Amino acid sequence: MNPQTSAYLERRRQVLAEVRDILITRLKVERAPEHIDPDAFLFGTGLGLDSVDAVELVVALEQRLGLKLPEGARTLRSLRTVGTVIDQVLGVEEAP
Amino acid sequence: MRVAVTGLGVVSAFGVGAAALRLALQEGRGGLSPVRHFDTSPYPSRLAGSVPGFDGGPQRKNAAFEFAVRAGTEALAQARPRGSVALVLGTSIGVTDGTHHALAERLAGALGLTGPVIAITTACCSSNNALGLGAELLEAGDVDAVLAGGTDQITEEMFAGFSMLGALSAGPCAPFSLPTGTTLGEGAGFVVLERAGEAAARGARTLSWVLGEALSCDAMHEVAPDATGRGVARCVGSALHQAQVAPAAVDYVNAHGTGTAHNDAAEWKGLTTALGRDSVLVSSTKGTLGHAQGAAGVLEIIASLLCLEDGRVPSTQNFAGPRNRCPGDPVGQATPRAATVQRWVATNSAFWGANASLVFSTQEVPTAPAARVRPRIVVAGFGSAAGTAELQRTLPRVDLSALDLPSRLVTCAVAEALGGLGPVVKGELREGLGLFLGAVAPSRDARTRFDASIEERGMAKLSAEAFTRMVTSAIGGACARLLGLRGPFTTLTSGFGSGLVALACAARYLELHDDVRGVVVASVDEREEPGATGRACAVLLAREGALPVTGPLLEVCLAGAGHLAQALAALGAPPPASTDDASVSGSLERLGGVLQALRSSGGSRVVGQSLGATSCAVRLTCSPENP
Repeated sequence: MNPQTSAYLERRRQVLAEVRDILITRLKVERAPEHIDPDAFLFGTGLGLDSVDAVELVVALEQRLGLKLPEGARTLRSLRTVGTVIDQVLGVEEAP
Repeated sequence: MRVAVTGLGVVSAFGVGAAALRLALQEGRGGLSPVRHFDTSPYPSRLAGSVPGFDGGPQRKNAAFEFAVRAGTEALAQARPRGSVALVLGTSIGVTDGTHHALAERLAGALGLTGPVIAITTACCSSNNALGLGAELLEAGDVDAVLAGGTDQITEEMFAGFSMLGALSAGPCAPFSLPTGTTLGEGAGFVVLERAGEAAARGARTLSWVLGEALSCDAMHEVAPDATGRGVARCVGSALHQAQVAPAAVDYVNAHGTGTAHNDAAEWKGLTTALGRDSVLVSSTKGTLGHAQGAAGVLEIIASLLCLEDGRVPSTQNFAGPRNRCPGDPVGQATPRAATVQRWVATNSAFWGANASLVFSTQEVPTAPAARVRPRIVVAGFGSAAGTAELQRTLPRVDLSALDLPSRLVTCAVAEALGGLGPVVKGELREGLGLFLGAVAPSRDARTRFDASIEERGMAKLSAEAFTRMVTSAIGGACARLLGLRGPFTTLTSGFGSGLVALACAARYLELHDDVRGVVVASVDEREEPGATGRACAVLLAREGALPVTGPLLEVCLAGAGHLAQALAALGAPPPASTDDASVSGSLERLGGVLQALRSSGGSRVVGQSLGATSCAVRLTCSPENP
């Protein structure tokens, strides 16, 4: 595999692990990490989070990864699924 | 309901005393200024409605108590009430000095009050709620007079919490206008309440009359209101119904009007629904005083009373044109506006969807002609819960995973008490069933997570999620939301006897509100030791015949410290050998045993307790038609 691609996938896995950990330890999502699918919806019938939990998820991620997500990261579109949250993080890291 | 307001006292952003507030309102001054007692640079706003002269030093730490002593003393000096005076204190998260109830007992001691002492903590509607409960205790004849109100102080934690929730305005709070967001405030306000007839008989000057009061719960979200405004509409509608005032007869509404986009639109929708028209004279004083949390309701009521005495209504300051889905002209000017007002409404809403409303009259209203028959209240169910691991198994159809321990315990106990009506209440019954919770502090989990987030990320980035659970009403709020209890909702504390006192208050509420079918009363203790669990129990009270379940008849009586014998005598029971006599000391938990004994042997039992500053007696009677 292209080393750039494999590095990207590895980083995606790392961020996914962080997101899963925050969901479980901070936001009381009572699931095993492997049962939190990257395509799981954060709100409603997905993981059952609400807007206040979403703030906690964003702030905790920023803290752990030492980065600042753009204002747009707090919108519902960016916080649709676990995967879209990871996209936000990787988007910031890739930016020059 | 005919309850007279015979005195008032206030400490606000304009300093100590009603005279200072009255003058500032008349002159159209604003009360918002830069906060001095902590660094506001990490936050979107520097402003708050701080009380001048309390900028730092040891006074700051106990500011809520200091405010309350001054405001309470002023109100009592004006009214000079006779007999046993109760204290009903609304307070919320600004109180850092011990528990809410410890503050209430200290205040009662400092003011020399001898009646029952009850602290209400339903976040931003605490003090509105406190006035309502005070009026109920008077209507029921439990006390001679009530000092009711609230106190709260601005802390950096509160500032940071609202900042993280995105609820702080960048500029001064502009209710129903732009920019959106609120500005915090602080202070204390108290009114003296008496039965109207007795106040008139002793020649007391009556400032206003309370005609009705009510509570409700949106049961939807921890901080956002129900956008359809149904919770507010139900609350205002219920208070008007109790007051026997037609919606068309309401001349003015003092709205909660926090300035946030969610609150203002939902509240306006709720008000127009309840009043059945698209416009009403409405204003919010939060642009003037800031949002004083536990003291907000009573400060706004006092501001309204002071303006109405001059034939005016308070204005909505900082108004720069209406926002979408908000009133077009909420008295958007600096100074009060002349208006003819006879009947008016004060309403507040809070975290976890709690709503509280009061209906006032500026003129004396003749007592309702026919003496109403007091409805009978029955104990229709009982439940209890303990431990941790087993809880989810006892309630397989309800997802408890997002709840902290005390909420889980309460939810399991309440579900058992609801019996066949639950666990999740459906249909019309949701609006007719409420929850009264006796609890002393927020959950340990909330406090731990809250402190840990500050430790890890700094105050300015504290956990908003934990912040929403730092109000004690979060415990019941999470339960009400999960089980669909949208009727009257409150959290109160009288220290360790809170469960039985909550039962007495719920019984009074049911007796005085014929639009409510039942109230589940719950109490919860979370043990402080690490690894320990906790216990909760719940009792379903119902208006006789209003629910398809029934049980023994309930009678209650509340009295002040050391007056248990008096409370028992009111129920026709002999005085206790001593207040520690096991046969008359009890709690909500002991009621379970009493109920079981009654089921097998029938007859009548009395349970009493005298803990702290409040005595409470409860009688359960099995009658042939209520086995």
